[in-house]
Amino acid sequence: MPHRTRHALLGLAMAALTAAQPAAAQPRLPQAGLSAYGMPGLIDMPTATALPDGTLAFTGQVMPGTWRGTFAFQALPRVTVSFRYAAARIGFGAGGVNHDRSFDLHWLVMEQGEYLPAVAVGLRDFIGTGIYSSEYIVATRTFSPRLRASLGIGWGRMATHGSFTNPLAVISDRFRTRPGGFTGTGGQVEFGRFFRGPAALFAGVEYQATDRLTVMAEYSSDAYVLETGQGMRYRTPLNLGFRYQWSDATTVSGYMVHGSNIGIAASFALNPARPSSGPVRITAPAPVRLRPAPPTGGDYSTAWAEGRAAMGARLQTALAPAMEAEGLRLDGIELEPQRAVVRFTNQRHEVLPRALGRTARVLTYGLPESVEEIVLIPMHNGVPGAAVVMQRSDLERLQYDPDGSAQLLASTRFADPLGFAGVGRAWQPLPAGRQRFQWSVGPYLDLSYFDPTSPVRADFGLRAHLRYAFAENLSVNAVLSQRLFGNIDGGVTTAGTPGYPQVRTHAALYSSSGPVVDRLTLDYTMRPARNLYARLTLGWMERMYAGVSAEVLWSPADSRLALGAELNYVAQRDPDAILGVNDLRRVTGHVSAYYDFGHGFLGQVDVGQYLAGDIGATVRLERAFANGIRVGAFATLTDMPFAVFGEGSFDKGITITIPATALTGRPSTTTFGTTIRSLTRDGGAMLSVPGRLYPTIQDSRAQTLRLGWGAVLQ
Amino acid sequence: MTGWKNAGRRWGVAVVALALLAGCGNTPGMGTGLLASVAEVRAIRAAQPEQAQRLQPTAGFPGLDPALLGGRTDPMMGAYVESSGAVAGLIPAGPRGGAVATWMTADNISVSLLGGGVVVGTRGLGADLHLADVSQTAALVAAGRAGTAERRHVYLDPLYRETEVRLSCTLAPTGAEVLVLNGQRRPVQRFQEHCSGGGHQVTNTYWRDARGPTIRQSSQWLGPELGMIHLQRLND
Repeated sequence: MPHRTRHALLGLAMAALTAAQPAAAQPRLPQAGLSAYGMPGLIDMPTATALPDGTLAFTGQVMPGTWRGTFAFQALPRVTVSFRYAAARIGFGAGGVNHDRSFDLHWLVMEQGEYLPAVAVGLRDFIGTGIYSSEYIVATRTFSPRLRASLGIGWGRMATHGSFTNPLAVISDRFRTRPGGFTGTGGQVEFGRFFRGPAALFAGVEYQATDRLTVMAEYSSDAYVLETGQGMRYRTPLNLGFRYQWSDATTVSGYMVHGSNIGIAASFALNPARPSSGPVRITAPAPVRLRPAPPTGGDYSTAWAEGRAAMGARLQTALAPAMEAEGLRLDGIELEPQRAVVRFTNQRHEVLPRALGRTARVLTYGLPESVEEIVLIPMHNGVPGAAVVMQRSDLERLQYDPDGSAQLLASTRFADPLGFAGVGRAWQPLPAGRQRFQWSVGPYLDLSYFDPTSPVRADFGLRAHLRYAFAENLSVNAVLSQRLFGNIDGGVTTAGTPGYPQVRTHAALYSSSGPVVDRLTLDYTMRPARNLYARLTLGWMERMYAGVSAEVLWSPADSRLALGAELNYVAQRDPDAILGVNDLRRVTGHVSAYYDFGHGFLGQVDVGQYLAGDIGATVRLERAFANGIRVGAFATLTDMPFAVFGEGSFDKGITITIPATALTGRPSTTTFGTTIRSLTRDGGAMLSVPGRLYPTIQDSRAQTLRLGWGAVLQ
Repeated sequence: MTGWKNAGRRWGVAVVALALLAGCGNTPGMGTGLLASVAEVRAIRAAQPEQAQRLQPTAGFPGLDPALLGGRTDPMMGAYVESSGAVAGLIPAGPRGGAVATWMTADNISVSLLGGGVVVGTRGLGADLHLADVSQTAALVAAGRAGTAERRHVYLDPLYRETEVRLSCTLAPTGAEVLVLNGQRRPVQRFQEHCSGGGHQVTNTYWRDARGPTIRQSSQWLGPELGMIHLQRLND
């Protein structure tokens, strides 16, 4: 849902869940502290440090006249990126308070050597309107496990106290002055400003007084020019503060800025490799059952295969409860004399290889002895994801072997499920005994970010999910909501975009106190040919649009590359009607390329026509961890001129997905996800179609399976 | 009329409250939203049992709470994990996997033993011993010989990446004893295995049946986070 972010409130969930975690007793080595900007640093000044690779950290900070929320991500071992939303009383903006979004980039160029200190280069607020716009180079030396000192040079806002002529002016005179303001409608990378204008020195020291308490002092080169203009008092360039490690995940800090302003901050950090919930605790599987040796000089008997249909039905009945105990739904078994093809749905495991391993273990208790090849087909909403082909004797041989996972991976084949028994091309019948009608009702919370009048708006109410299945691959799906209370509909709706239809900027109108049909669709998927998947979606597919959507995806099971194409014809729904539409009709669609770079780094490019009729491309980069944590960023450039697009110039944002497992340490397929865009505008807007093919089958792609393969013998 | 309206409203409020508290449906978890997920997460948290300190240590070895056995006479194993204080009785799980036998608790925590009883893996304890090569140790204990053994322990980190600890061990018999296990006298030979590697220094002790390969009692190191497990074979 690009226009209204759902299933979110990550900060709150993380706070509620991580705050309860007691800290480990062992002493900690000094690690990067998070500054008031939520990035590696002291109070306002940065340090040449980094967070543990992959760490997500949310920092909330308040000080009279300033409020900041920062989401930081250690995207690479030495690269930290962040997105910040800040409110600052600086004399312009609504009520004299400026609401500003900013992005930071911090690169640890080198770690500390024998003589040389660690060095980092950073850009603060390098996209956008830029009230924090600054650049820095900082060196940090750790003198003892407890003492660390930094010295740096800053530009821009970080050169507003004690500044001198830019030393880079020896290279070119262009570095002498810093262009003011921002380009066009803002939201662009301000290359022309980097490291320009006067520079100033800053310094800092931190001392770890106890295992949990660190005290900090810094000489700040930020004079808070905008804030002092609004009555903030500035007494000294010296800032003092402390940081207290409340638990593994939670840090609180307090400080005094410039001798007159007291601020407090709290950070919640989640390191995917060391979640505070510890390693996943999961019940033990049944051991692989070993077959007795075949009769001397012969093979196992295949006489049973005469009645294999009946045998398959018996196995289905016998094994389904054991599968269910492992959080797996057995969707079908097809038997051949030496092979079994098993379709199943994972309902518990956050990592699919564990579901594969446990399915195989259960099967060894029922399959006739002559069955050597086990073909496992994970189903995703009725779509067969891949065929994972394992040899039963490998399982028997390797279940306790220290090299078992690697050897099993080497002998396992990832194939297209089409062509295996029981996998339909155009029709996948519902397994006998499966309920056709499924439903659930529960509470929901929808969030809308960064409305000019309120940084977060929310709706709360009841939401029903209903599904009637004609077949595995053909169903009617409905999502109905009744809001109980909320204020998203009070959000500001702008006049739209000159020369373009209003496609997203009026999203707030679609929040209603009455009953809402979020979705009512007929959904069909099929497998036209090897490596090809197809989808047809008909109906009210999202809150704002109804129509028809068709998609094809070429995705070989064991390929890094996948290609897709989608075409949609939609009508804009009437915000005041339950199912009615207004006069706006749109054709929108994209061709997409998906590439898995390995180690969980994923890229996606979509090229096509967006909802407002603008033509362009979206680039997405994402880092996915095997336990389901995903962090990504995207940007869309279209032929809509920046000046017409409005504030922000082009569509961009970040996506975050946190699995419940990372918070609880228990297996679960539940995830919390949210998309945060700096602004919702009409340019670069995509249709939000449920059930897009690539995300549906992504867990089954060989590259994804390899990432979490260690769990196969868990 | 207003009375009727109010009654309807009250009924509506009750339904809404119930749905909010519980969520309902024939397919729970279908399209789970944030709030339901948070509730699920909290329920899971709350359900994690406090580790009961039911252990009654006996001289030289942490014994088992007899209440766990409940008067049973079938083959069982008592287990005590030192780091968590957890005590449990285990029974054989399914058929033997060749040279390895897996034992399981009622709440599905398992310990897999190679040969007479050297731990090759655990499941359900958290930072489990995922996979291991302990064949040299098992062979020495079975043969009743002193010698050196190499061990490989494999652990899974929270991102399912395997990390390995290699240990070099020396193993030697340290004398004969008689154990009394659940009322049964068991003459045993005691072995100590001193291991070091990966920054760890640990000692495993095995009390092997004087007449056969079965390890009647043992204290074995599982890994850096779980520490020692103490095992007793009972009733067989």
